[in-house]
Amino acid sequence: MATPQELSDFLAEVERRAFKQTAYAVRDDHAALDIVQDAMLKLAQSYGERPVTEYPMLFQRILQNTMRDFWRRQKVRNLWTTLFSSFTSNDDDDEHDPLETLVSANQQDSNEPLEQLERSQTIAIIEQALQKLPARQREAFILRYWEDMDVAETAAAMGCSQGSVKTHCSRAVHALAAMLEKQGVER
Amino acid sequence: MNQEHETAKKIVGLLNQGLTRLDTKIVAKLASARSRAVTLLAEHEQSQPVTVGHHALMRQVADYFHGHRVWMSAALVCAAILVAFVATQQLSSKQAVEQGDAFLLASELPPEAYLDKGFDAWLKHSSRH
Repeated sequence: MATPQELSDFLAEVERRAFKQTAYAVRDDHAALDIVQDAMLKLAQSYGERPVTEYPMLFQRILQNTMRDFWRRQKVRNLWTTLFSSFTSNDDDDEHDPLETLVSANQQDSNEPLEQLERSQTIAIIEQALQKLPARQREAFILRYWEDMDVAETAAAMGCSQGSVKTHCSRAVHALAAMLEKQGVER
Repeated sequence: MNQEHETAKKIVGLLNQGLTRLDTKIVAKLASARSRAVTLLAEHEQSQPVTVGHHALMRQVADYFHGHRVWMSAALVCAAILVAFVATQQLSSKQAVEQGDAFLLASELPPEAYLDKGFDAWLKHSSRH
């Protein structure tokens, strides 16, 4: 069973990545915060007795399920409220510009030297590119490379075959590389 | 494949740099959520007594039953049906025997017994003894 300290250490390590991962998916920082917070509480409440080594996989599963719940609720809400909602689940026909939020998130660097500014811009381009990826490719890329899971763990977390994970990852990396080249960023 | 991996690692490196530039409000909210989760776990730990010896065994048994509750429910229903069937059989057979004995004791000999010559002979023979 994990101790509160172990849980704290684990969450401190993953919380920022989890927030970003969720923000790429739902494209709303407030919603992303709520989702990550819910996932943290669910992990502590329902899986506190599990060993800390199982936490990465469990937390990813909880995060994915909480995101799905959010999308379901959002879909129902969109049906009843307005067509001009800022959120849509479709990646392709979304008119929302994710760069706006990324720029505001990086405003603190505006007085930094040129090099840092360029780096910030590169990060913003990558984040924008990640947001444009199809959901499954983004999920595979984040779990496999950012969360540093192996192919089997990624497949288990995504509920698909290892072959699918490899395909999604490969396509994601190629798409990201192509977008970076298009933006004139060196690989 | 290797180049793909290298590209992915470079991208991840930049993404990690981006994490350090997160809005301080977001960082604070994440820390607050983490703190709540840790408190929840600590409360959960305190509310559960330490299980040792036969308590631990009982807990394991309870967990096993909880984990297999569908099968356990089905087994309980089957057992109840079996017990009811056996009990009914026992009661009905006992009643039948009792009714048969009472009939034999209360009734007179059937007419067929008087027509049976062998029966007469047997009756005389047995009454001599």
